[in-house]
Amino acid sequence: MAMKGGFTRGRRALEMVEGLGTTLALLGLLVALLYAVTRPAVRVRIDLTEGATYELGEQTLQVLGALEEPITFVSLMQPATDALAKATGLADAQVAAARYVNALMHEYVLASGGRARLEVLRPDRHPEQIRALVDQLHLTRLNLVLVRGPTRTVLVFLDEMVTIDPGDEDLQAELVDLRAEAPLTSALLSVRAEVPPRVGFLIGKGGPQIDDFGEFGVGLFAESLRGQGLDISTFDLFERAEVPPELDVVVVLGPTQPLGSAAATALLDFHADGGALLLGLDPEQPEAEDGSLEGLLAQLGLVRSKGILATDVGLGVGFARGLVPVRTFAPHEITAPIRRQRLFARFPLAGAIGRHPSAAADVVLEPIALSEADVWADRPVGEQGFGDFTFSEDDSELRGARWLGVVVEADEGGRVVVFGSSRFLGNQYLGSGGGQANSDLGIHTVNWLANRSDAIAPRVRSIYESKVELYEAETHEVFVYTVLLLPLGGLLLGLAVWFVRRR
Amino acid sequence: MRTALPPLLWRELESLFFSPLAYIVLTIFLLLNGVSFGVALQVGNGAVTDTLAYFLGSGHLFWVVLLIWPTLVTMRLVAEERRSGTLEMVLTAPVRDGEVVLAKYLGAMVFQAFLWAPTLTYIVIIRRYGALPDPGQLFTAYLGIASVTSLLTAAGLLFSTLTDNQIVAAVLSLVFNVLAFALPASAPLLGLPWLEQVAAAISMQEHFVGSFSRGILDTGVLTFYAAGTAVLLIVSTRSLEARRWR
Repeated sequence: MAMKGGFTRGRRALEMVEGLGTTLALLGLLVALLYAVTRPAVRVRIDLTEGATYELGEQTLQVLGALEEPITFVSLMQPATDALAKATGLADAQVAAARYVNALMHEYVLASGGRARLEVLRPDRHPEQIRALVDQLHLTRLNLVLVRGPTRTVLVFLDEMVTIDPGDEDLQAELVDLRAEAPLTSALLSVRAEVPPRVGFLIGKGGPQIDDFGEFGVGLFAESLRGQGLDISTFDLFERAEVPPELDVVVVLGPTQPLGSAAATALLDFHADGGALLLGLDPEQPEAEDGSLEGLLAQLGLVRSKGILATDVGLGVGFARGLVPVRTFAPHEITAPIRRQRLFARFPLAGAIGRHPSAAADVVLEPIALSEADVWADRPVGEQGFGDFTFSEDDSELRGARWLGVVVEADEGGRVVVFGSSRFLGNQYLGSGGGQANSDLGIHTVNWLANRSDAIAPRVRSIYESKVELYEAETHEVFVYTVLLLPLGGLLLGLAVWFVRRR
Repeated sequence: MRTALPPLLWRELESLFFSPLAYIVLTIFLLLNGVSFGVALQVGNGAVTDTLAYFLGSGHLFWVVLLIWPTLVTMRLVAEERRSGTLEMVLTAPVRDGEVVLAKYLGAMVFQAFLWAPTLTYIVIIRRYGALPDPGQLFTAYLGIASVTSLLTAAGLLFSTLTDNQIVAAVLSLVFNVLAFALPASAPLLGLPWLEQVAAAISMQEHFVGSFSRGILDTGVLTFYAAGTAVLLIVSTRSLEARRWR
C-alpha cells in the first residue's frame, strides 16, 4: 500500500510539473507572438470605413519610414465656444475636425515605429503649456498643429487640414472635406529638411501683399505656405538688377504697375538659372508702353488675353458673372489631389492664357486648369479694363473653354506656372468666397515649383458622414422602442421560458 | 478520440438560457443600452459616426455594461457547479478539462452574443429615419465588443475556477475588469513615457477609441485579445486540473 501511495504521489507530481511546464511554455510563446505582432513592421491596421479616412498614403509611410530624428506633433485645438458658433453648428464641426486631425496624427505615430509622438494640449487642461508655446512661437491663433523636429517647428492650421462650411441662419455648419494628410506630411518633410525651400514674393509693383489679411491681400496664402514649412519672404527689384540668388521660387501676383524691362530681365535670368516662377496675372491691368510683362510672357512662350472671363450660367449679374467656376483640372502632379476629390475652384475676374505665336518649338504648355465651355472673354470697356459682363451675340465675343492655369515645360530653365488671375489666391477667395480648390491649387503649385512633389501626393479624404435629424415624435418613438419595448420583450421572453419549463 | 465538446456546450447553453436569471440579466442589459443609445443620440448631435462612436466606444454606460456583464455571466460557471457538487460528476466523466473550460467559455460567449444582438436593431431604427451608418465602423465596433468580452469572460471563468463561492468569484472578476480598465488610463499620472506606451498598448479604452469605434482593424490589438483569452483559458484549465493534484 505504501508503495502504491508513493507511486501515485510521484505520478501526480510528474503531472503537475508537466502541466506547469506546458503552461509556462505556452505563455512564453503567446507573449512572444504578442510582442511580434505589435511591432510596427508586422502590425497591420486596416481602415474599413467607407472613406478610408485614416489610411495613410504610400508617400506618407515612406516619409515616416525615413525619419531619422524624433518628431513631435503638438495638437493645439480650441473649438469655438460662443453662442453663435454653437447655434450655427460651427462649434460641433470644429470639434469633429479636431477629432479627425488628432486621430490622423495617432495613425502617423503608430506608423512611425516610435519615431513620432503626439501631444494633445487642451486649453482647459494645459493652459500653462499652451501659454508658453504661444509666447515662444508668437502664435496669433490656436486651432493648429505644431510639427516639431530637432531644430525646426512647422505650423499647420486647422483650416489647411479640413474645410468647414460655416453655414448660415438656415443651414448648419458642416465639415466639407478632410485633407490633413498632405499638409502634415509636407510639414514632416519640412522639419526634416536642413534648409527649407525659399519662396520670394515680388513687391514694389503693386498688387496684393503677403502681410495684408484684409479682403484684397494674400496674407492667408502666405501663412499657408509658411505652414507648409516654406521660407517665405519678399524682395523688390528697385536697387538690384537680379533676383536674390538664394530664392528657389519667385511669386509675382497681380502687378498693377509696369513691371519694367529691368525687372522682366531679372526674372528671366532667374528662370534661365533654374529658378521657378509662379505668375498670377490679372487681365484688366493695362500693360506699360514698354511691354515688359507681355515680353516676359512671350519669352516664356505665353500670351494673355485682356478680356475678362465671364459666365451667365447661374443667377449672377454684373461682376458676379466674372467669378468663373473651374471644374476641369488636367492630369498633373499639381492637380492630382484636386482631381481625385473632384473639387472645384473659383477664379474671379480672370483672363485666359494661351500659347504665343512665336513660342519656341521646344516649349510645351500643359494647361492644368480650364474654364467651362460656356465662358466668354468679355471685351474691356473704358480705362478700368472691365467689360459689361453681357455676352455680345456678334462675333467679337465667343464662348469656349479657356486656359486659366498653365505649366510651361522647356528644355532649359526652371519650372514655371502661370495663372490668369492673382485674385483666386486672395484672402477673400481662399475661404468660403472661393472654391474648395483655390487654396490647394496655390499650395500644390508652390510645392511643385519647389520640387516637393511628395508633399502633394498624399490623397485627400472624402467625408463619409450621415446625419439623423429626429423630430420630437420620432425621438419619443426611439425612446419607447429602446428603453421600454425591447427590455420588456426580454422580460416577456424570460417569462415564456419559465412558463414552458414549469409545464 | 471523439470530442465531448458539443454535448458539454449544449449543457452549458441549457443552463444559461433556461435560467430565469438570464432574462433578468437580459432585461437590465437592454434597459441600460437603451438609455446609453438615447444619450449617444444627444451627444452625437445627429452625426451618425459620432453617435455610434459614443454608443459603442466612449459612452460611460457602454463601459459599465462591458465590464460588469461578463462577470455576471461567468461568476457561477464553475463556482456554482463546484458548490453543488455537479463539477465532480463532469470531471470524473471521460472528458478533458480543456473541453470543460472551452465549453463553458463558448457557452458564455454565445449567451453574451444573444445579449448584444438586439442592440443591432438600434441601427435598423436610425436607418429608418434616413441615417446610413458606416458598415466598416459597425463591424469593427462589434468586433471590439466581442474581443473585450472574450478576454473578460475568460478572466471571469478563471476566477470562477478558483473558488466555490460565486460572490467571491464575481468580486475577483470585477476587480480584475475595473483594474484592467482603470490602470492603463491612470498611467500618464506617473509621468513615465515607457509606462505610458505600455499602458496605451494594453488599454481597452485606447483600443476602442483608437481602432474599434473608428472603423480600424488592428492586427496587434486583435492578437492582444486573442492571446489574452488563450492564456486565461489555459490557466483556467490548469486551475481545474490542479484539483487532481490536491
